[in-house]
Amino acid sequence: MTAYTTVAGVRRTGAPRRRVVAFAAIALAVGATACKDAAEPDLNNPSLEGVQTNPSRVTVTQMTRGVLEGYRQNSGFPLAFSIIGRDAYNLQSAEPRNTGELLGTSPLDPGGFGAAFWGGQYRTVRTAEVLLASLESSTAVTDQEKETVRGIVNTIKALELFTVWAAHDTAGMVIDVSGPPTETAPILCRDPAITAIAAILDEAQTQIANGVASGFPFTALPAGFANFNNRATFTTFNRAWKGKVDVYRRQYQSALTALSQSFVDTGGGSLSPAQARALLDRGPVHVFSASPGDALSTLFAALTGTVRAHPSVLAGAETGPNGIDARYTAKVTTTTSASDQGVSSNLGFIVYPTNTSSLPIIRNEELILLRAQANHGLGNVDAASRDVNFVRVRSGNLAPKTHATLDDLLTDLLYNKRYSLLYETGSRWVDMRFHNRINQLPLDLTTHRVHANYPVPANEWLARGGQSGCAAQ
Amino acid sequence: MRRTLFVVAAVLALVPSFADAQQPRTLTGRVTADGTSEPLSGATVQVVGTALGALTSDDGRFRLNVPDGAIQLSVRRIGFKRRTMEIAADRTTVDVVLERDALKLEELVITGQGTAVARQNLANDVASVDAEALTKVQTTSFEGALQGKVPGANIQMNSGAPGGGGQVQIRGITSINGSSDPLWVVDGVIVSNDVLNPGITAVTRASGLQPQSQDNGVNRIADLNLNDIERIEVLKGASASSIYGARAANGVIVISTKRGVAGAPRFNITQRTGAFASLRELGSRRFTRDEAIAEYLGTGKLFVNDTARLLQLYGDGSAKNNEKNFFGETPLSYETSVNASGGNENTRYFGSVLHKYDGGIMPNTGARRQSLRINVSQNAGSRLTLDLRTAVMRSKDQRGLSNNDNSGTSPYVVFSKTPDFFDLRAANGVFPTNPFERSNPFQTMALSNIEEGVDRFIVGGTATYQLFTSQTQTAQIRLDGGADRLNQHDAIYTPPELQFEPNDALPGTTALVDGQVQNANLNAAITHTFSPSGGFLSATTAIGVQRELRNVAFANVVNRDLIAGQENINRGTTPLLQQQRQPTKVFAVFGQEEVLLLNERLLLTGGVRAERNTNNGDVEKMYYFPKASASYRLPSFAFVNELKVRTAWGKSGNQPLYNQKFTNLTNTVYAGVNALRVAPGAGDPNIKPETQTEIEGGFDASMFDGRASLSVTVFDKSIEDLIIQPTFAPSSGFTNRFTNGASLENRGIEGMLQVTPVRFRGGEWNTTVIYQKVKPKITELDVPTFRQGGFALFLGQYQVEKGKSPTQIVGLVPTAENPAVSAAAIIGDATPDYQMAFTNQVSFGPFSASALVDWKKGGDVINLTTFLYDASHNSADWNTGGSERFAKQGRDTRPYVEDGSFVKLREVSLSYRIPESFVQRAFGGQLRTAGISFSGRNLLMNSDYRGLDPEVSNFGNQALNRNVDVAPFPPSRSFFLSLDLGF
Repeated sequence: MTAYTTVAGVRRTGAPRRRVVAFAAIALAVGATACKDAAEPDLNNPSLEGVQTNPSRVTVTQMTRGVLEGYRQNSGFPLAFSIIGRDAYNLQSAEPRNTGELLGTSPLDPGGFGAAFWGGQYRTVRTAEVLLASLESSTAVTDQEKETVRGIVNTIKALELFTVWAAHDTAGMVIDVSGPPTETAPILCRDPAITAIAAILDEAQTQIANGVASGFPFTALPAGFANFNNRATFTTFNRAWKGKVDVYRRQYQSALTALSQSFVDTGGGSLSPAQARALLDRGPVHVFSASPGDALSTLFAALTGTVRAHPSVLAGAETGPNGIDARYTAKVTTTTSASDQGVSSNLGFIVYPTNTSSLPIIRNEELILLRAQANHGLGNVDAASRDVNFVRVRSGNLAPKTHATLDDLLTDLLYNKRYSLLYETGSRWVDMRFHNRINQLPLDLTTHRVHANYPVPANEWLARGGQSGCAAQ
Repeated sequence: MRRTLFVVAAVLALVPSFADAQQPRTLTGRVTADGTSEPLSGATVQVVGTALGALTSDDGRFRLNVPDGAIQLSVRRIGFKRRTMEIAADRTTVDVVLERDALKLEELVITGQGTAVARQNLANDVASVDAEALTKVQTTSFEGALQGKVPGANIQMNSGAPGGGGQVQIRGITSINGSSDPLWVVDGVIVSNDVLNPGITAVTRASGLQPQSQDNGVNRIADLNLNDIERIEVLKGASASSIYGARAANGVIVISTKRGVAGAPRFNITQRTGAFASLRELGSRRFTRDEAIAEYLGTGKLFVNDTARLLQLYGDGSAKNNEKNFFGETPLSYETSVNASGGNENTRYFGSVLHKYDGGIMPNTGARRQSLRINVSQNAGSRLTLDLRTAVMRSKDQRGLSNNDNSGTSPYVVFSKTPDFFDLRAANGVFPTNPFERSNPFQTMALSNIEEGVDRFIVGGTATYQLFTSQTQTAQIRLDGGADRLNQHDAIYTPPELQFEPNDALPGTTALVDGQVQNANLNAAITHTFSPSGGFLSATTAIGVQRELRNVAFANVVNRDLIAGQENINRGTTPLLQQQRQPTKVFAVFGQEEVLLLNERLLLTGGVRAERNTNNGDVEKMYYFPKASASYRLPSFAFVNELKVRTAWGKSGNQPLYNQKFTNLTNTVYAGVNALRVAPGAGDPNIKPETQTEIEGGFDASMFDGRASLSVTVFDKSIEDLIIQPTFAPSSGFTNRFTNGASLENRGIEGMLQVTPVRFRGGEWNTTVIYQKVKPKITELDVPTFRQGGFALFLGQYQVEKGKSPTQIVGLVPTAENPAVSAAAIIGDATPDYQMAFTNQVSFGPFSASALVDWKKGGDVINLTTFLYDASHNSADWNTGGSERFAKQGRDTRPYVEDGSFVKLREVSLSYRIPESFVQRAFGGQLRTAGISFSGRNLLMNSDYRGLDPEVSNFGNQALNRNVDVAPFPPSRSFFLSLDLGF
């Protein structure tokens, strides 16, 4: 285009032919390079914009899977919780904070290790919010299906928020992540925060109930949800978590109600040990795989690696007529000794035999113990004792115990929660704190202390223009 | 755009209206050096006011067609003072004698695309390094050859690993999240200095499994053959570099390779042989038996109550020197360089071959370089000149493992943990299992295969066509450009039997990176000079367009759980795949006017470049980068032969990086289904280039009959629209975003003093002193103060804060009110207080000696290597300082942020040039020249820094996040003996 004009301009001057050729060459170069360069999309990643309007069924499936994937990626928190709760060590010399800061040689650094269990979880929550917002505009999904998607996504969102809550406790946390990222939502204190999480679970229950009975969008759930992928069964999963959340908000009656609608089950009649194990292990799981792009277990720890069980795991295990607590032998074994900064252990975890072993999200065994915890809270010693002993006998292969006082009951309940959920939920730290027993956790060195909770990350305060407290409402 | 093209068209239309040149006559002659009468080859002989010129052949002769009538002839050659002489109308022969120019005022400096200005008129301080300074002392890295030679440049290696890896930062920090790298131009071809990370993190787990910045990668300028380089010019800031546009804010390094000299073929052979040796060791704690028992026995200790085991390991407790033994390799290193040059008036060629090997001080490490170059210049008729330059390069590096690590494999991580009473060396061919850390580096390096190969091809060409020449005017079209293409292949294999391999239950790791960089650029420019007779004015106008295409791409695979003995990526069970592509297209139009007035005393320059770029948010928007400068040469007074005062102003840019405008989703596979999540970082769809405005001023004085010269330059660079990555409140679900949101100012001064205190017949002593100082400051920040880089607040990070230096280091410090409570405080700054370099050269007859001392004052380093030793109670000074340092860890970061001042003896060389008469007699004329020299690099370092070397960067080349020391590849010194022969 422009090039021709130039050549014509040259000709008018009557210049010799060879000069014209040279000029034309330059002019052509100009013309060729002057063409516009189109704005190209990112060649390396899918774009956020692309999923924000009228998502297809495939996109809805992939985003739902993304929310679950976020939750799976964040499922490694029990390691840190277990270190602080004195169930585990990570004796990694190249990362001395694992045996220093986490064990309390210094306060948790809100700009470093102490910034954990926050941003990663909120990323999942943000993904959930993006999906919930874009779902409104989808013409590919029916209204009833949308309700199911909302129910699933809100349930998982609540679980992620519960991890944040469990880590931060009195420091407070953010619940509402639906606004623009430049605007910060209030940091709610412990009690209003968990009340809000319970409300999300209830909202999700209603949405599931309004949704489809089975089929899409339940097909968006991965294999670990095989027995929890229709309206009825997913509801029992939702209620299981509602029960757990209610226990930690001390709404014990409500917890019992929720648990009764969950998949809690102590079976009937006599169970063989294998049947009992299968019953106790019921529940959805995170599945892992070594396929390209997929993830390996977040908690698998090779015996030759740096993760070890705390020596008190062996020291504290009870011995019954059939020998040491069967949960100990099933989950811990002796391995090479490792040490760092004055602590050492030769006990390794075999909870997850391989790096693709599934990781339970919530199990029947935990639900039975949560029911006991709720009954304990209500003073129903007999009911609680029954559940605790069920687990003692069926899971620990120990003799049943008589629980004379509420305190005895609580001690045994916490013992059983520790060994039933060892290196699985990290609940020992949370439970000891919840029941004001954090000072009973053993310290290895005088320089150690037990962190009560994670701080709100430094970047959170920086973005808010300075540190302040949490909001009671 | 349309308007710019119209201007180009208008100029094109104008040029042919000039009258044709007059009929030529032939002038021949000979150019020789003053004093020695040595013939000077490669001198430029030119008819003043015209583009008619020729180069002298190797016997100093030239032949030139000149117009009728009396003419002025200008003769110039690098290293000699220019001479202009009147040639009467009837003369057909002339002999010219040139005086030596120690201060290189006559050098032509490339100031734009297609234009050059003599150094004596230059309005910018452009540093120049010539071939001799580059290659006098052997170097393992390109950057190393420039250290201490460029005023205003802070040149630091990232580690001591063979093969390179270093950063050139010119006039201070210019960016935080953009590129920090200067633009590298070789003979008009914009070449890649990209780093394609080699992926050792698959083994070290410094950060995940996929290639990342802690891999100690090599920036690819390392592929070039230093022996091919004629000269390097460093344009330091926007006022000089704006004509190069939006990648020039970090300066431009203009490299010219050697050209052929007309005459009979001449060969030069240089053979160097030498070795590298460790420069510094950290040492470790000497444990007494009781100390070993206290450290390793007891509840919570490594061996709990296994006294027998510990005492068996302790043995006699003697020092086993693991560190010294491991880094004690001194493999034979060599460099064979051959070049040939020759041709005639119309065709000239230069060819070279290089084969070089630098052995590493770590077992199984080293760097090999091979290169083949052919440069050809061809005159096609009297008007067209063609220049073709091609080089093929092959680099092969083995750089071992180093830097940060989470798998217990990086050697210094292992040594930090392993007490010195335990010998890690193989006994009877069996490597002992290290009970103190997860690996034994002797075993790891003996059995692993960690290799990087690069094949590279750079081809560039220039076509210059004289459109028109007359007594007063010339016009030429110049097309130049070329392509740079490199393929990098990294293969990393750590076999299943290594001690650490079973730790992830996936024994055996193999990783492959295949990277490509493609650069291509084409400039088309028209240059017109107008020099009316009388000499009061000479005006040069250049106008042109530029197109640049660039693509950096790589694909990589990591697989683990391998079949024994199988390295291939399909022999594992857990493959991880990744691919990245980052294409960029640039289009620019530029124009420049240089006017030389008042008998070549006053130079005024103005120019502008308009550019668009696909990395910008708005790909169609043109950004304008203007410049203007002036210089004036004062006539001589007192002892000053000449004084030039100069000032320059200009704007330049720094392009956004490819990914900075996009907000993405990430995808992972979850049980066979793609799972989409929001990415933690958000882009800015409106991102634009960082723009730098620089003003510099200074003077250059030549004194005492050329025995001394002094250049002083002050500058003020302000960079606006700095791309920052402020953090969101993490509760938003995003961690950070890119945005143009800050301004930065760099003020500084640099100077160079050159003196020849002693000069006599047959000998002289030259001394050069370089000084530079720069103070950066964040002047605007649209977001709250944020921290970047490092690992954590308690381990030291950088804090970007309005009104403060961008390189300030923040850490924890106990508060005054309550020492038990710590708070963030500024505890250091990575920017040096100042830097100086001292070069001394003495020559006496056939002997010459030189030494270069490089001094950095200040500039703090985050020393986490010492932190690792302290954490394992294993530092050499544990009992006298280490335990005290470590007691404060987590509360007080200051013990690990150290002053990085150093004095290094960078270069030493002693050489003897065998007298030519003797050589020619002894070898019957077969041999022309012969010399022998001894050289050494980094022979001595004086620094109170506790780590290995304050020149260190765990995160590789970074704008901001440098000076972090985590288990680096240690520094080395080198010694070489060379033989130079000329045929």
